Parts: sequence; C-alpha cells; structure tokens
Amino acid sequence: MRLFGRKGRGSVPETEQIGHDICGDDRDDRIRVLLNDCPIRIRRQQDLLQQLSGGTEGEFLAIGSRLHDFYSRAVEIGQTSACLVDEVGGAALVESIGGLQSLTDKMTRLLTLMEAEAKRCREILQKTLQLTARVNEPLAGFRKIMKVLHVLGISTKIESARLSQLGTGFYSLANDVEKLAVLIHEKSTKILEENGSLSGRVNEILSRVINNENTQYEHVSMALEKTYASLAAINVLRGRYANVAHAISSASDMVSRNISAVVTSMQFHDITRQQIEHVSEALGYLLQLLEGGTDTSDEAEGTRVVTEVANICRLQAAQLGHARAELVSAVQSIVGNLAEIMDNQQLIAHEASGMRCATGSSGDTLFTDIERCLGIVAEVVIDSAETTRKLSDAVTSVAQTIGTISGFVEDIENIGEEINLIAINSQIRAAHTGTEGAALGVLAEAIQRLSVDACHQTVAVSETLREVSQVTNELCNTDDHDFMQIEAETENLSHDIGKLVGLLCGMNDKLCGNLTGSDEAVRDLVADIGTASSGISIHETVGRGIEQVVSELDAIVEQVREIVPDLPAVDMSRLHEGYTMQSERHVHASVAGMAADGADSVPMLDASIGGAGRDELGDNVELF
Amino acid sequence: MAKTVMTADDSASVRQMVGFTLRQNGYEVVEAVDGQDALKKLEGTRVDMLITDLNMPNLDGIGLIKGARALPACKFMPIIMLTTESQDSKKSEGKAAGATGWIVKPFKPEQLIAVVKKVLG
Repeated sequence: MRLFGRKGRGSVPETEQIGHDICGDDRDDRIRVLLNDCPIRIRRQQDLLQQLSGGTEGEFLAIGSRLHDFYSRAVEIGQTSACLVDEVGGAALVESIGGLQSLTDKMTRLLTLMEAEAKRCREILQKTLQLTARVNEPLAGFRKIMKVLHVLGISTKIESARLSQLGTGFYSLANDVEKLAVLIHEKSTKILEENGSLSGRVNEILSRVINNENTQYEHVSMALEKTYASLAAINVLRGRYANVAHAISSASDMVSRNISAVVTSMQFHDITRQQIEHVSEALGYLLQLLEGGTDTSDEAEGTRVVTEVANICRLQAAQLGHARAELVSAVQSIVGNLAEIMDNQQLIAHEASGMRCATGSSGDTLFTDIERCLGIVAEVVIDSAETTRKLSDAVTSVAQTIGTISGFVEDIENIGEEINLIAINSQIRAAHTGTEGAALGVLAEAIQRLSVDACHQTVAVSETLREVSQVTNELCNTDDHDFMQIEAETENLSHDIGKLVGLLCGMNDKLCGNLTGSDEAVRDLVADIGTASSGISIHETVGRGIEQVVSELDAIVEQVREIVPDLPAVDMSRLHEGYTMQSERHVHASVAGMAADGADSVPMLDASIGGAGRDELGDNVELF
Repeated sequence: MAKTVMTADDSASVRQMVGFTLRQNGYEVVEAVDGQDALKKLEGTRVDMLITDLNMPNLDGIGLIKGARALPACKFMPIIMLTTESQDSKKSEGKAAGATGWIVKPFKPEQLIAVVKKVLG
C-alpha cells in the first residue's frame, strides 16, 4: 500500500499568500477552534473511508461469481439458437422442402391431367346426349308409316272385297301390310325404350363428371392454393434464415462485448478502493500535520496551517468526487451491460422462435397443412381416375345398347324392303287385273312410297346411331391402363408426401422442442440476471458515504474561507507523489493548478524495445 | 495441453476477473493472494506465465518478480505487471526487476488475452 510521504511540521508546503481579512483576536480564536476540532473531524472521515474501502468487495465478488455462469449460459443459448437456425437453413430441410415442392408439382400435374380428361368426357357425353335425342326424331316418321300402312291395309281389303274373285290375292297382301305395320310399331317402340335407357345412363355418367368438375375440382383448387401458400410461407421463413442467423450472431457478439465491459467495470472496485485509500492516507498526513502541534499564538503560522488544511481537504474532496463518479459509472455500466445481456438473450430467443413453422392457435404446422391439403388433392385425383376408368365400362354398355338399337333399325330396314317387295307384287297383280284393279295399283304405289319413306327414316336413325357410336368410341378408346397408372402414381405420391411431411414435422417438432427449451433457458437466465442486477446497491452505499466525507471536507474548507477568504493555493507537489493513478494525477493537477506530469502521456519505457506498441494492444499496455 | 497462468493480486475481485477472462479462453489459472503466496506456489507448481499486481501486502510485485527470477523454472517465464500505477519510475523498476510487460488497470478482457497470447507465443 502506498503511503503519502510523511512530513514534519517543518516540511509543510509554504503558503503562497495569506489573507488578512478578519482581524485580530477573532481570527485567532477561530483558527484555534478549527485546529482543535479538525483532527477529530478528519479522523472520523478517515474511519468512514476505511469502512467504505473494505466493505465493497463482497458485492462485487458476488456479481463476479455469477458472471461465469451468466456468460456460459448466454453462450450456450446463442450456440443452441445458431444451431437451430442452421438446421432450418440446413441441407436436409432444404432438400425435404424441395422434395415436397416437387411432389406438389407432380400432384398438380396429375390433377390438371384429370381435369382435362373430365372436361373431355363431359363434352363427349353432352354430345352423346344430343345425339340420342336425335334418334327419337325419325321414330315419329315410323309412327306415320305405321298409320298409313294400317289405312292402306284396310283400303286394300275393301278394294279386294269389291273386286271379289279378281281381288283374292290382294286380301293376303293387305294382311301382310298390316303385319308389317305391327312389326314397325314393335321395333320402333323398342328403339324408343333402348334410347331412353341409353340417355338415362349417359345422363348419370355426365352428372358424376359435372359434379366432379363443379365441386371437387373447386375444392381441390383451394387445397392446392393453400399448399402453395404454405410452401411459399416456408420458403419465406427459410429466406429469413440468413437475417435471423446474422441477428443471432450479432446478439451473441454483443453478449461477449457486454461481458467484456462488465469485466472491465468490475475492476473499478479495486481502483476505487485504492483511490479511497489514497485519500485516507492524505487525511492521515493531514492529521500528522495537525497533531504535530501548531503554535496558535503565531497568527501567521496558524493561518498557514489552516490554509494548507483547506487546500488538502479541497483536493481530497475532488479526488473522492472523482472516485465516486468512477464507481457509480462502473456500477451503472455493470447494471446496464447485464440489462443488455438480458435484452440480447430475449432478442435471440425471439429471432429463433420466428423460425417455427407453426401456424394459428391450433398449433398445426405448415407441414401438416400441406399434408392435409395434398391429401384432398390425392383423393380427388384418385376418384377422377376411377371415374374415368369406370366411364369406359359405362361406354361399353352404351355401345351394346347402340348395337341393340341398330338391330331394330336393321329389322325396320328389312321390313321396308319387304314392303317394297309387297308393293311391287301388288303393282304386278293390279296390272293383271286390268282396269278393274286400277285402284289397287294406286294403293300399291302408295305402299311402295311408304317403303321408300321407311328406308329414309331408318337411314336417318342409322346415321345418328353411327355418330353416337363414333363419339362414344372416343371414350372407349381411352386406355384404362393409363388411369390405373394415375391412381397408382397418386397413391405413391400421397405415400411419399406423407413420409416427407412426417420427416419435416419431426424436424419442426425437434426445432420447436429445442426452441421451447431455449425459451426456458432464456427466461431463467433473464430472471437470474435480473435478480443479480437488482441487488446491486454498492454504488449507492459507497456514494452516500463518500458524499458524507466530501461534505465534511467541504465544510472545513468553507470554515477556512471564512478566516481566509481568498484562499491561496499551496504547493501540494508532495501529495502528487502519492497518487499512483493517472486519473488521480489529473484531478490533482486541476485542483492544485499544476500541469499534469509526464506520466500522463504514458510514454514507452524504452522505445527501442517497443516491438509490441500500445497501438496494437491498447494505450494501457506496454511490452518491454 | 492448456497453459497455466498465475494471477497474484491482493484484490479478490481482480483475481476473479483475471481468472474469469483466462479460463474463458482455455487457460488454467492459479491464484495467489500476495507476492509471498505467489512465490510459494511458484516453487511447487508448473506455471507458464505470471500476472501480478504491484502493491500487495507481505511481498509486493517487484519483490515477487525478483524472487521468481531467482527460481530456475521461472527464469524466462513471462511476467506481466497488472496495476493501477502508470508512473514511468515504477515501470522502469518493474522492467529492471525482470517484468516482461506492464498493463494499467482496468484491462479489457480481449486486451489481456492478446497480451497473454503474444507473450506465450
């Protein structure tokens, strides 16, 4: 411990100028009283300073003992957060999300394929329906032919009866005509029935296709939109990765800087202690001066001593003020930096938690959303593929019906030919009958025209049926195998999506779990730092003690000023030697009106050895 | 193997901060409460570097350096003075006694580590 140079009375610094404003006995008395009281007052302050200097270490040690713990925990939180963020931006996750994107694209492609197929089917079925309606139109013509045939049959019978013997052959011809009318009626009725059933089946299939289009595809489009939105949200999160990683890294660096600042500030306990001790030593010197015995009968000597007392007190008050300011600043720095560590930890936790892939209050993740949405898409794709595949079965049955109808049309065609033959036969017979059978000849001609009509109608029906066949054949030509493949591919995609989503959910769960752990660690650390910070009061205690001493020293100075108003400066260069710290020497220089000495510039001891200059290591470092 | 650094200081809080800084950076730390304690420990412990305060009870920093230099194992050991004092006269005294360098308190942790790394090589 450095002690100020002890000096006897004879070595007291010379007073440069002594005031004489108070006259005579009064001043002598006041000097005497002051010199008498000062030792007690100064000793009391010295005791207080010794208490202050010895009583601060416990609280600093308590903070210091926690510092390692705080630092280790802060570093661990920073590292955990950095690892978590790395995982989010890591290759495994990037690859998995890329895979999910690709599977979603494939699912979209299949869905587009099935949508186009459904549209094609709908159009074919709608055309088929229009055509089947056209089948019914020629059937009205058949009804007319039937009626006319019936009438012609009756007329032939009447004419045949009128001709009696001559018209015998015509009677059986009339029966044939009536039979043919019945046959046409039967066949056209069957055609109507079959065509009705065909329309019914086509309508049924069409409804299913339209239903798929109107409801499922709309629903599925929304699901796909949501999937792509979720993927975009994940990519946005991943895009934030670099920023978050940077923020966490900066926050971690900041923690290191805060800890560094705390370590630096913690040393002010020792620095302040030494400053207080130096003041205490200076007061000790003052006590020596006062207790050395002053000849109070000598006015000049008394004035000189009180002047020196005042100057030394003024200097020590300034030194203490400086020490107090440094201690308060150091403790504020400790508290401020600990608070910044808390803020940074919370920032790290906040940034890292932003990487969670959870949405909404349900706690569902973007990944489970994607799985659910793609599940809907897969269901629709499979359903559509199945519908399309089953469509060809239905179309086969349509083709069979068309075949049946065609058979009936062919029958009617044959009937038409028969009618034609009957008509020709009738005309020949009518010619044999001569003028008597002229009426029968007219009937035969009418019958023949009917056969031509029937022929036209059957051609029209056949034409329509051929068109129906052609159209429905387009559906028959669809390869069932393709749709079975689509179904299988969709099922595989669903399986792959499920697997990938499971993997991503696992990663996210791990991330969330670690984040929760990290959050808890941050909470605990922040609480512990908060408790440690809130308990720091040493600067207030020491500050109050120092203020008390300063106040007493100032009071002494004021009392001296009352005796010596123009308090002259005294030579305090000896005291200057006692100040080992640069800052103390600065205070001394400013109070004593001295120029700071050479040590203030902290020169290199030996410039020639100065390989490691202070520029490199700092102003306060010298390597010899 | 981690290097061992001894910190000699009568202030427990300074020893604590020097120890904290060094341990955070992977050094082993031996603490001594004054020069006498440090000399005693130096005789029985392998130490790669000494960081000592100047003003200590029982035996001050200059005395410690002189004592340490007398020990064969510490003859070339880097010794850094870590003190609040910055007078040239004291530095010269420290250098003459065998100090390798001088750091005025307060130190910054990164500064101390830079010095330790530099002198330990």
